[in-house]
Amino acid sequence: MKKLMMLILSGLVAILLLQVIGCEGNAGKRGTIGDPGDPGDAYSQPTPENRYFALAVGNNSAVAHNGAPKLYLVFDTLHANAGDTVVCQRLTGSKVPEVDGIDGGSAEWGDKYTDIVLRKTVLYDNRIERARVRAAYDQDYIYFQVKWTEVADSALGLAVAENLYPSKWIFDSLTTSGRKEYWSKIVMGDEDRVMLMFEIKHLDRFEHDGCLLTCHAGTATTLPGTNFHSTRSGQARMDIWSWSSITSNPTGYADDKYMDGTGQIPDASEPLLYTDGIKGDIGRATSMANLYYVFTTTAISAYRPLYQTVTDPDSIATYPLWDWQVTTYRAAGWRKGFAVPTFITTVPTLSRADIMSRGKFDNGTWTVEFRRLRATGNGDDTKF
Amino acid sequence: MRKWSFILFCLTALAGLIVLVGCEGDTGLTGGKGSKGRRGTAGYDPDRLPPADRVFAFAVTNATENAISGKRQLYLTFDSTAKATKDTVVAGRISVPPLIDGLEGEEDWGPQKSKMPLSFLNPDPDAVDCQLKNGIVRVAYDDDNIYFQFQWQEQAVEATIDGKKVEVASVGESRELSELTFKYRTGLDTTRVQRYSCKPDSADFVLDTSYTFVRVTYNSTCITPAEPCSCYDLRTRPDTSYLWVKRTGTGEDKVVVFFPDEGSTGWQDVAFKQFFGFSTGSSNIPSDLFVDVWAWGAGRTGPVSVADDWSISAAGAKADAGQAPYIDNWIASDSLPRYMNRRDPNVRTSESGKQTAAIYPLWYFDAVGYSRSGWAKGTNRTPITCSLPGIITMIPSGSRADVYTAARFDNGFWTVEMKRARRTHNGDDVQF
Repeated sequence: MKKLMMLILSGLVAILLLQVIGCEGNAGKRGTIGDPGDPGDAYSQPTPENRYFALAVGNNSAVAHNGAPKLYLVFDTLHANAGDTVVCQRLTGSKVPEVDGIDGGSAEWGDKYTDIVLRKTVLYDNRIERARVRAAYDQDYIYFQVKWTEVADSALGLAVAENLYPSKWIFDSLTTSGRKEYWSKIVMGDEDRVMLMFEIKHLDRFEHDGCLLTCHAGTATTLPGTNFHSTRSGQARMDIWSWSSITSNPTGYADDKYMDGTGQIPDASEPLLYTDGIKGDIGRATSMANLYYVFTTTAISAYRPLYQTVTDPDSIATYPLWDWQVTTYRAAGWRKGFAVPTFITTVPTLSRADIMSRGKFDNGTWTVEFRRLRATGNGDDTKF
Repeated sequence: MRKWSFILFCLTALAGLIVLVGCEGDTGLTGGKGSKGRRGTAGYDPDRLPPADRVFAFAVTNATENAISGKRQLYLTFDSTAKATKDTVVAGRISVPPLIDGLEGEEDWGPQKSKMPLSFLNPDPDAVDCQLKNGIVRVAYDDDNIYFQFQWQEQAVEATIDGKKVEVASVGESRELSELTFKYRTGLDTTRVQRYSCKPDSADFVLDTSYTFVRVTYNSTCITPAEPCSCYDLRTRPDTSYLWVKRTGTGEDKVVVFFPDEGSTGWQDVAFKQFFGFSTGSSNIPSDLFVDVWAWGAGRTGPVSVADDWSISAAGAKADAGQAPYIDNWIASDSLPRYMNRRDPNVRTSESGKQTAAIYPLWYFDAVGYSRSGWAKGTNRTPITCSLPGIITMIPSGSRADVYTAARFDNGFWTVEMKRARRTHNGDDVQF
């Protein structure tokens, strides 16, 4: 019995010993790594905010440009492209509109456009009642297309034409009216034009009245020469994208300007007639006035071209006349009726050259396209 | 006792045996698949983070080339909690860029401005302090661009030089840089002109400007100063050309901003000497030096609304890649202009009624090759002075046109505003 107890005790001690010093089994294999989380959103420029803007269209006349003073530009998907609302579509992929004045349609611009109703905004109606507007944007740029068809009206002197010859100097004689040389500026028109206008810094009531706040201040019967384009406070500032058929189109840029209320400056082409609050962005413009004048309070002693073509004084005035094609005017060899262009085309620079633009005239219809950086970083430009 | 020992021995042996030959435990089960990782954070554009703080310096002049006043060092911080002082400029983050037009535009620049006295920075012994004062610097930035505004005040200064009181600085815009003039007169008294060399650094060089119309002969073999060039007596030479000289006192007002790539002690002395051509100071340039330089001048760059973009490195001062906003209109070796206005000769002469004609800026498209024909003639008793611009204005391009600039002069105060992309992606620019 005692021996049996001893054996059982030995067995228990052995089991206990095994428990104490016996090896554990190996751990199981590590499970497989879980799937990686979804990637974060890639950085992208924030979607531009919806905003108001204005549109004006001219047909060879400074006193008749029709427009839509207040349009709504939307970047979301909540609004329909109708009435005064223009939907600016986000471009996907690498394809972007070619700024060539050729309508690439929905393949280039997406499927949304708005047929805008235009109305008389100044003294006369140019009878252009509709314009088709498309807009698109991508990470860096915003694009616009404006398309309109001209209307002829002989009573109003309106013709359907690509107006590329707005004015010219005509030589009369070397001694007339007390001037050393007598030149007349003959104005045949005002080019074809389209302008887009955006707030840079808030214009009070722009969301109600649009650009009418700034142009032709006063009444609808205000005459040219008494217009004082201006914002109504010194702080308010409006961006103006001004495309014109001959002073800007040959350069491939729209003339980039702004308007504020800090003062009136003389018009470059007609400094004796016009002043307004429209200023050019910093840099060189798409054209410069071909004008030399000297005047006192009582008389004009000089009023003539500053430049002539290198083949003058016997060439026919044509546009565009580039700065590298001209030489300084000389009062020699001119005969009555000889002509010289009234402005010189120049390559724009700096902020004045922010807006690529090209227009094409086809069978009575202008198609003008624009492209600009969404944020130029210039205080004279709006930011999208 | 033996029995217990035996039992203990058996147990120990049994335990050892079990340890040696016992089986290991079973391997555990394979773990489960880990859970899916968290969604990554939204991406960001590193260009849109606030720039790193840095130091910079600026220098201003009043119608001189190198009599500079300014601040040797300013600390530029982008920490909006910092306070602007005379030594610290606090850049404000803005949502609407300021209008670069040279007007004060208080509302566009954020709340902080640094006001500071300006020190005279030219170490040359003969340099005269123009005593420019009341410096103000403001800086703003946004995602893509950085904007600077500099203001300072000019004042009229007189100094006594060789016992005479001389006006060394006046209040004005000083846009007519290096105006070239000559006086045409008959009966030239050449006996007072001793010798003239086409090699300005020659020891024999004597430039007698007591007469600005002298007889010189262009020597085509003397193109560069390094070539040997004999001096000759003007009295023995035929009259073949005119001598044009730079009218004294026709410097320009300017502001030059220096941004070292990394702040290091004494970089200003090297940068100022290299850019302004001081005669004193060490000519040794540290091999790792890089300083970006933005130089606005009322005459050189004002008409085209840029600052001239340069850099200074171990190789010295060098213009950034691209077309300059101007070219010099003077051939020093011949004392002749390269170009004149298409309307020259005599767009500006001292003839009655013609003194006020504007000759600056002379744009490249208005310039033609210089001709000696037709300049106004005077007499010994009534000499006529004719003028030509010392520079031709060009359209700048490339990296040299990175810095948009506009300036206004109002009642003795200059306001100069600049804008540049924070990242130009040009190796000759610092990046913000």
